[in-house]
Amino acid sequence: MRRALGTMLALAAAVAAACAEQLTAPTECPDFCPGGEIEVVDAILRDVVVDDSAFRGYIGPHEGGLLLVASLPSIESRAITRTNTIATTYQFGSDTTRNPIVGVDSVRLQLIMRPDTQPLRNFRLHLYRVPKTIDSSTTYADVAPSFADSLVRSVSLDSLLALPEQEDTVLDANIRRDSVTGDYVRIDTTLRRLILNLKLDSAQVPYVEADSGRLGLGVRVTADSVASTALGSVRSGSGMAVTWYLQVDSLQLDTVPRSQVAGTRFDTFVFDPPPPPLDSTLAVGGMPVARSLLRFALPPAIRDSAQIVRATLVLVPDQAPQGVPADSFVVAARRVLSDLGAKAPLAQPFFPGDSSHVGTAWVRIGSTDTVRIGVTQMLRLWAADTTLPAAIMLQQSTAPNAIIEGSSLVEIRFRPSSDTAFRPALQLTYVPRFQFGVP
Amino acid sequence: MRTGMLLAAALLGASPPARLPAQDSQFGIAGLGTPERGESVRARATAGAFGLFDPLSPMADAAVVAIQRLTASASSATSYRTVELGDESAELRTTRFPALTVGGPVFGRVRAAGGFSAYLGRSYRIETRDSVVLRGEVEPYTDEIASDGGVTDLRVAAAFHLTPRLAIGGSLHLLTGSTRATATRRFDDSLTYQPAAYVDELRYEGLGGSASLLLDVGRGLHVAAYLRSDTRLEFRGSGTSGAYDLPISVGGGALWRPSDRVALAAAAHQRTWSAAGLNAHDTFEWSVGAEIGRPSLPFRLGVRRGRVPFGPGAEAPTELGIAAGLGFRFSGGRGIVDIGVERLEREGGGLTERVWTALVGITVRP
Repeated sequence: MRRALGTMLALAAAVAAACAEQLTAPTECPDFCPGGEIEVVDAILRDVVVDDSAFRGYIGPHEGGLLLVASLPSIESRAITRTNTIATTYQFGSDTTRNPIVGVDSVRLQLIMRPDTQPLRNFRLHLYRVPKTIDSSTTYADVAPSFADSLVRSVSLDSLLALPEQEDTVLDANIRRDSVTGDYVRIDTTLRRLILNLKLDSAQVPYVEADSGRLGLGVRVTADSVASTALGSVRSGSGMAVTWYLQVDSLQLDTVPRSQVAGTRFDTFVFDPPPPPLDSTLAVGGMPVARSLLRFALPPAIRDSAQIVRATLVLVPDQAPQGVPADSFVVAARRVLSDLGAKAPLAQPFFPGDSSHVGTAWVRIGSTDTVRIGVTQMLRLWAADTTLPAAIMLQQSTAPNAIIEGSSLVEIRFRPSSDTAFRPALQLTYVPRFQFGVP
Repeated sequence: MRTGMLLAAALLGASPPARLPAQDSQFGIAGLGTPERGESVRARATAGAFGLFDPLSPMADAAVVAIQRLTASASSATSYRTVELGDESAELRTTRFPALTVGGPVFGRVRAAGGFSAYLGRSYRIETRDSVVLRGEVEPYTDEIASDGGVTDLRVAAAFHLTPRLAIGGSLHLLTGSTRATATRRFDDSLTYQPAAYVDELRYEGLGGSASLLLDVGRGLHVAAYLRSDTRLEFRGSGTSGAYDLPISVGGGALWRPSDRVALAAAAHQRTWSAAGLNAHDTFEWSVGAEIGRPSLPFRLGVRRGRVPFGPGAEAPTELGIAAGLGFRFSGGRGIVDIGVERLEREGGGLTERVWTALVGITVRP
C-alpha cells in the first residue's frame, strides 16, 4: 500500500511539474474575441482643483545664483556689489618692513553674464559707484542717486562682440579685445556664459586706503528697446571680481607693480516697482520668488478604478508675462511630499529619469496661451498610493532639466480655482476597469 | 516496475524545449471556453468510442466496476494547432493533463474512483491592432487580452453490479478552477501615452452529478448509457461576478467484443450547451472505434464527428476527429503505457483549426 501511495505521488508530482506554457494567437473580433472591450476615456476635469494658494518669498534678490539686471517697461532692475578688501601694505621677501600702497596703475573688473544678449540692439552695460554700505535691506530708492550721478563707465557689448576673435596666449582662450579701451569679452561655450573684462583707471576706481580698497559698484543695462540680462552672483561662485594693479613703495626708493584680486563680499539687485501684492491669482516666479499650491480631489471612480494613461494640467494665464525673448521660462508642477502649505517639502526623483515628481512646460514671453503641463506619472503615482497628498506646487525655473528658481524677474499668474470659467483643470485620458469574465 | 515508473514520470514530465505559442481552441474564446476531453488515452485513441466502457474515463461511472484492484492513471496531451482565419494563420501549441484517475475496490461489490479531468480550457492570448482619436490625433494601439487556466472536474464515483449483467454507477462532480486574466493596452506613442494593464484572478465553482448503467447483453455485446447534469458555473473576480448555466449531457454506446483480439465500439452524446449564453450551441457527437490485437499490445483507431459548442453565428462549428494508438503492458500487467495520436479539424465562422495531438497515458496497478 505504501508503495502504491508512493507511485501515485510520483505521478502527481510529474503532472504538476510539467504544467507550463505560453499563449498567443491572431484573431478577428468580435467573433473570436472574449467579451468586453478596453475602453479609453478622455475628459477634462474642471473641478478637481479644490483649493489653491499663492505664496511669495522663497528666494530674495540676495539669495539667488544670478543678479537680474533689466530695463523693461514693466520693471527696472539694477545689480549692486560690494567687493572684498585688499591688503594695504606689502612685504618683500624676508624683509619685515610693511611697504604701503602708493598708487593704482589700473583695475580690471570681471563680470560673468548670461550669454544671450546678442539679439538686443545697442545693448550697453553701465557701471556706477554706489555706497559701500549696501546690504540685503538696500532698496532701489536708496541707490537711485548713485545711478544718477556716479557713472564710472559705459560699454557697448554689441561693439565688443562685433570685434574679430583673436587668440590670447596668456588666457589660453579666444577673446574679442578692444585695443583702445583694453576691454575684452570671452564666450565660454562650455559653461554657457559670457565673461566681460573691463579695464578701469585709478580715476574711475580710486583706491581709498581707509576702505582697504573696498568698492561699491552698481550695474544697469540699456538697449534700444528692452534690455535684460543676468550677472553671476557670489552665491553661484561667479560674482564680480576686481583685480587691482597697484604701486607699492619699496624702501622709499622706487615703486614696484603688484596685483591683488578682490572678490565679491556681497551682491544683490534692486528693482522698481516692487511686485504687486498677491491676490487670488496663482503667482509663479518673479522676485522675491512666488509659488502656488494646488490641491486636487480626483474622482474616486478614476483614482481607484481606472488607469490613467495621460494626464495634463491645464493652466490659463491671467496676463502675458513681460520681458525679453530670452526671459522665457519653465513652469514646473512639483509633487508635494507632505501638504504643509507654503513650506510643503517637494518630491525628488526616485531614480534618474523619473518624472513622477515633476512636470514642466515652457512659457514664452508675451504669450497668453494656455499652459499645459504633462503630469501623467504623478497622477499614476497618486492612483497607486492613495496615501500620498494630491497636491502640486507650481514653481518657475529657467532650466528645462532642473528646477532653478530666482533666475528671472518675470512672473506669471494663472487663473485660480475660484474663476469658474478659466480655473485650473486636468485633462485625463484613462482606461476604466476592464470587466473580465463576461463572454 | 521501477523502470516503468521512471518511464511514466519522464513522459509526463517532459515539457516543451522552448516556450512556444499555444492556446486552447479559438472557438472557445468568445464562449465559456473549450470543453476538454477528459477521457483516458485508451478511449481517446478510439476517438472516444470506448469512453463509456473505459473505467479510467470519467464518462459513464458504471464502467468503474471493471476496476478490480487499486489503479492509477494519468494522461498528457500535447496539441500542435494550425489556425487559419481569413488571410492570417498561426501555429500554436498546448500541453494539457486532461485526466488523473485513481480507483479500486472499496467494499463488497462496490468500486470507487476519483480524480480530476479538464472540463473547460480558458487559456488564450489574443492581440488586436486598432487606433483611436485622442486629443485630436490618431493614436494607434495594440490590445492584448489573455487568460491562463481553466475549470477542472473533480469527480468522486462509485459503481457496483446490481445484477451479474447490470452495473450501475453515479458520481458527484465539483467544478473548480481559476484563470489569471490580463488586459493590456499599449499605445504606439509610448512616451505620451502610458500603457494600461488590468489583471484579475477569476475563480470558478460549480457542481454536477451523473448516473449511468452498463449492461452485458451477452455474446460479447455491452451497452452503456449515462445522464449528467451540471448546475451553474459561478465565477468571481475582483469587482466582477456572474454565473452561466451548464449543460445536461446524455449519451449511450455499444461495445461488441466478438473475440479476445477484436473489440468494436460506438457512442453518441448530446449536450445542451446552448444554455451557456452567447455564442453557445447544443452539440451532438458520435464516434466509432476499434481495438485490435493482443491484449498486451492492442492497436486502436476511431473516428468521431460532432459540433463545437461555442462559435459565432447561428450554427455551431463542426468537428471531425480521427485517432489511433497503441497500448503496452509490462510488469505482468501492473503497468500500462498508452500512446495515441489524434487529428482534429474544426470549422466555423470563417475559422479553420487543424490539430495534431500526441497522447501519452500511464496506468499503474501496484
